[in-house]
Amino acid sequence: MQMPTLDSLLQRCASGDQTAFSSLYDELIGSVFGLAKRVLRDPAQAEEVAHDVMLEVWQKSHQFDADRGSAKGWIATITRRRAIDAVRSEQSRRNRDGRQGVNDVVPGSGDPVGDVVSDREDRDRVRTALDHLTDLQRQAIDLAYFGGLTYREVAERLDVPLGTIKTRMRDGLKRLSTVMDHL
Amino acid sequence: MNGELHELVAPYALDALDLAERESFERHLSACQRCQQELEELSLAAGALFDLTAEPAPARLKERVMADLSPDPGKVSPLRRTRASFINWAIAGVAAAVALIVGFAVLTPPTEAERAEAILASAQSVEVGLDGLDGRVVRSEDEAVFVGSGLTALAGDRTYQLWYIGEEGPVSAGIFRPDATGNATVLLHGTAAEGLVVGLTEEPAGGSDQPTGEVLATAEL
Repeated sequence: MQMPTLDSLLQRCASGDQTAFSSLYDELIGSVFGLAKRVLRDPAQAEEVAHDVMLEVWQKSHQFDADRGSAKGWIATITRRRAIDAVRSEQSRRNRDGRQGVNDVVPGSGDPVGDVVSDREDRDRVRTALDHLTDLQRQAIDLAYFGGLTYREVAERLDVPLGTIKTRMRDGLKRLSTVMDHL
Repeated sequence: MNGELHELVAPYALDALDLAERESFERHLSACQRCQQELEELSLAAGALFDLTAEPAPARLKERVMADLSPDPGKVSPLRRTRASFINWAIAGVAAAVALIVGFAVLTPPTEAERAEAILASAQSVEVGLDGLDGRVVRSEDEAVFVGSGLTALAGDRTYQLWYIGEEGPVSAGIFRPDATGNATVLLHGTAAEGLVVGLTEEPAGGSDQPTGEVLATAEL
């Protein structure tokens, strides 16, 4: 029996098929939750975001267009955007309170100095794969993907020309693609 | 400039374009085969970043999500008042000042590292030694922290996984990898209770629903 693809499961959600949604959920919730957690760090907030992401996936399933991308990619984008928005709201709220907030730390990126808890599985595994990239490629991708910065914001933050950032991102992703082929 | 649009494939794959650039790139993309081909390859790589961060999500999350599904997608259904909704509500300034002040404690959950530190430092915490490994499990009410040393380094596709083992069998309490010195301090996910046994196994990366590796260490709370 052939396993239904994620794309077809998502399409079935559009007609109200909760069984299909349940399967889709089981397949992807690990990545959704894990990504949210990498961006937000706090598992409770990550859980809230993951909950909202999955509801949005259900609500907007009719908007998914298989010609323009994969179900997984579509869901990954929703997850990233919600997680990054959540971090930004949290930071704005802290700034409004006049809290002595940590200088706007880009969520999910960088190595927290003196972290009591040892590296989480997700950070290590991503780091292992990203180890194959140069430091500069890894940094550009990390800031964009997990930090939610646009490439222009990355260039500004690192004080590096736009063309350089675009090249680092491209070369980094190409290298990651090669690494994956060898896994 | 048209020439530069070709260079936006990678930022697009990483979703690192602002709205205006994204829209003009998408217009370009629909007519450019070269970019479409490159995007296919780079999207797979960006997709790997999504796969690689996977970790077990709490079972209760699925219950909540399934319960909150509206019968027909596309139709608006009132979301249960989750904590996230409460945050939005409070930020909107609708909440009374008092509610806002009270809400702060709820709205800023500590990070896991802070929780773990707090538990280890607390005089009220109860400590039990680990059987099978150097280390201990420290419990404070319904939370517990695993502290271990001498943990063997793992291959990239393996992870350590903690379990709460009770009458109904093992329940995952989280996954982790030790630091470079073989140490780990991990806040367990889930509810600690006297009588539960904390177990440690080695599993495939991403963790397992049930232990598949041999039990490396235990501690009875």
